[in-house]
Amino acid sequence: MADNRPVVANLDFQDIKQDMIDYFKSRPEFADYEFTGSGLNLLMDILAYNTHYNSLAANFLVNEMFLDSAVMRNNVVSIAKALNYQPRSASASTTTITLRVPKRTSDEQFTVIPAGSLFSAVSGNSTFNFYTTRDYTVQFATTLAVGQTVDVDVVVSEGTLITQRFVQTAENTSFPTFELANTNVDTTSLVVSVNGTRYNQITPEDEGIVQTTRTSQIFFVEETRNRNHRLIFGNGVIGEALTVGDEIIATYLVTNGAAANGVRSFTVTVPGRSDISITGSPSPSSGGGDPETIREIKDTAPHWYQAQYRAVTENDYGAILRKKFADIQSISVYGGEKVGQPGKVFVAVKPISGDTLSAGAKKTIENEILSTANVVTIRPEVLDPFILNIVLKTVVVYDNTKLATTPAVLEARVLTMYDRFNTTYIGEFLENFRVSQLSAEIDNIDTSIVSSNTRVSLRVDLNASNSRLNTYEFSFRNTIYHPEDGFKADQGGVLSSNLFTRQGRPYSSGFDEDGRGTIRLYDFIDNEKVYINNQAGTINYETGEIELTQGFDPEDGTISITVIPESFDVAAENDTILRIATNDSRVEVVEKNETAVLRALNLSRSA
Amino acid sequence: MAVQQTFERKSIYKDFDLSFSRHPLTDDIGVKSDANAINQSLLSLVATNFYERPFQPQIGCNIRSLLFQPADPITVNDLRQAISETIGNYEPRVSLIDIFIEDRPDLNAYNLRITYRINNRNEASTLEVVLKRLR
Repeated sequence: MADNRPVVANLDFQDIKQDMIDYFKSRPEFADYEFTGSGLNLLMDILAYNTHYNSLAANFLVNEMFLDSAVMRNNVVSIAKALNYQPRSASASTTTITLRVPKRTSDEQFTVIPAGSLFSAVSGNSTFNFYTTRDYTVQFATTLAVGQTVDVDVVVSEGTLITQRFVQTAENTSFPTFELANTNVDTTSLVVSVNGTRYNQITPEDEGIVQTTRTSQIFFVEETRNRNHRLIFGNGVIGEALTVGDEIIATYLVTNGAAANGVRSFTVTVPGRSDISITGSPSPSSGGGDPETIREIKDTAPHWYQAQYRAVTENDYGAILRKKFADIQSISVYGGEKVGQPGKVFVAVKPISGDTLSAGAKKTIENEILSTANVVTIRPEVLDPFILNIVLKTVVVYDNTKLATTPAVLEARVLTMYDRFNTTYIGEFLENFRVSQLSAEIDNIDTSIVSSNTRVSLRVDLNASNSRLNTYEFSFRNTIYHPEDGFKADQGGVLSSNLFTRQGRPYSSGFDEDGRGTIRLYDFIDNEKVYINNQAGTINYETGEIELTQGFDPEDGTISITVIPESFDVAAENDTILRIATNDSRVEVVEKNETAVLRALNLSRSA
Repeated sequence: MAVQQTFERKSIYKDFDLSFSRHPLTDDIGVKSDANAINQSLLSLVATNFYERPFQPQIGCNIRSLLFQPADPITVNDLRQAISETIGNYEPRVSLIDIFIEDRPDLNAYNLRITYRINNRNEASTLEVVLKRLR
């Protein structure tokens, strides 16, 4: 006998209905289940619809219960809350501006630049408002003459300064919460006072650190279902409870987030003080970020829970920094023992807003974010990424019969692909360059491409100013091609540099090497190298380390040192970020039947 | 001695009564069988509009919109066509013999008479219904 027991496996309406019909039609009471017009069929519709509806709702419900599968932001935030994780709010872009304040009268002792002073800024087609978020007091020495000035550094943050007032009511006593009326609030900018007394914001992780008592004047901030934030006050056990009639004033910034990063041009407006001006050029604003996305919360919350607000492992540092500092595109953390400096942790950060963090941002990370979380004997050090440029020379062989465009277009498309390669395969920490991936990408550009051959060189750019380089020791962090001692010594070995000028010299100069580990400095006279110093530095082919001897007095500019690596693939370790130097990379397209040209092009690595 | 045997014809089609009537003795829900069950089914099909049944938008008959058309032979023909298609598609138990539609301008309605034969039976059955728009 057929097994007609109802199946509890289907979600689809038709399948559910069919299962029920199969079951019920074996019963003797009725017979017409299968005929569309029958009342029984209609009844099956209703039952199946109800079952389908319930199972769908259950499916959604269960999905929303877990961090991995939840799709609604308020549910993701709620689950993260169970992990004691509060998603990062929008953060305002900040910068430090130096103001020049003149003394107005002989007996003026000080002046105050008030919180909320406006600095309007223009960036491209957008204008942004930056504000001071606290008062700055400028003191004048009695000896200072009228009209003379004092410089003061003020920190300004982008956004609109909003003040909101709440009153504690009798209805709100059991669970006093107050919702801020705006989205994109930078919660770190929140200043809250109750009846004129300043309250401190406490994050969940701070709760165990700062000894909160029943009289602590504190408040918590939480994201609401509609992406605003709400203030939560104490309950008389943790934190002081509010009483009916208490007046709460909250001041905060509503920010444009990352859009206001990189702004350099400011105009100051201090009320009643048109004589105050900006001096020097402020560093571009940075640190602005949008509210944490659902994807980021899902990634960070478990790590954050695992880290337990303490920076111990390399992952912990990454989790804490990503939570507390918005302007991070890529981050690499490694112990000092890996680079011979035990006792330190190196944190290499590539910000979204540029290649390097400002000195102020680095200090913030080291002193304010990491110092509260890391092991006391470990010193964190924030590094700029070490940009290792990859210079490519690619020969692309194509079949003219399949080429729909021109060779020049083909060449341009390969160069465009290099740009794309910089963001899809490399460009972040620990992302290695693999020439096979590049070849595959080139092959995919056009059906007319028959083959490609790419030669790889590595380049480091050094900056010279005031007759000195920014560093005389650096490493390519990859083995350098060195098949034998004295290899190509007469042609300058495997190292070369651009031509640069030295102080007081009429000729251009450059570096090469002798194939035996020594770097040579030459002057380029009448298209010939005239060696000036045969001991201008050392090169370690095994480790890629370069050491240049000081004292060759370069003029201000960039000196690029290029070497040929042993491997076509390039490794990116620790603080290294690889980047294809698209401007200096060359592409040659050759028709497959031009055998003479192909033969003439030296396709070997040593060229 | 000859034994007289009586045969009760067993109902093939058995549906519950959509008016939810009660059996006077057993208190069970009322049952409709054979031609009655089919009549109820046909009426139900004719009165169902497209998109009324969940997840089965194609089930039904476009009667409701036709009742708002001018009462002329074209509309009558369309009605006949729609009813015939619906029964052909969704009521495999019957063979249609005739669909008679009579205009009743005094009532703003049509008299509909569907004559059919239940498959494997000889006698014809009839469903008569007045089609009247409600608004």
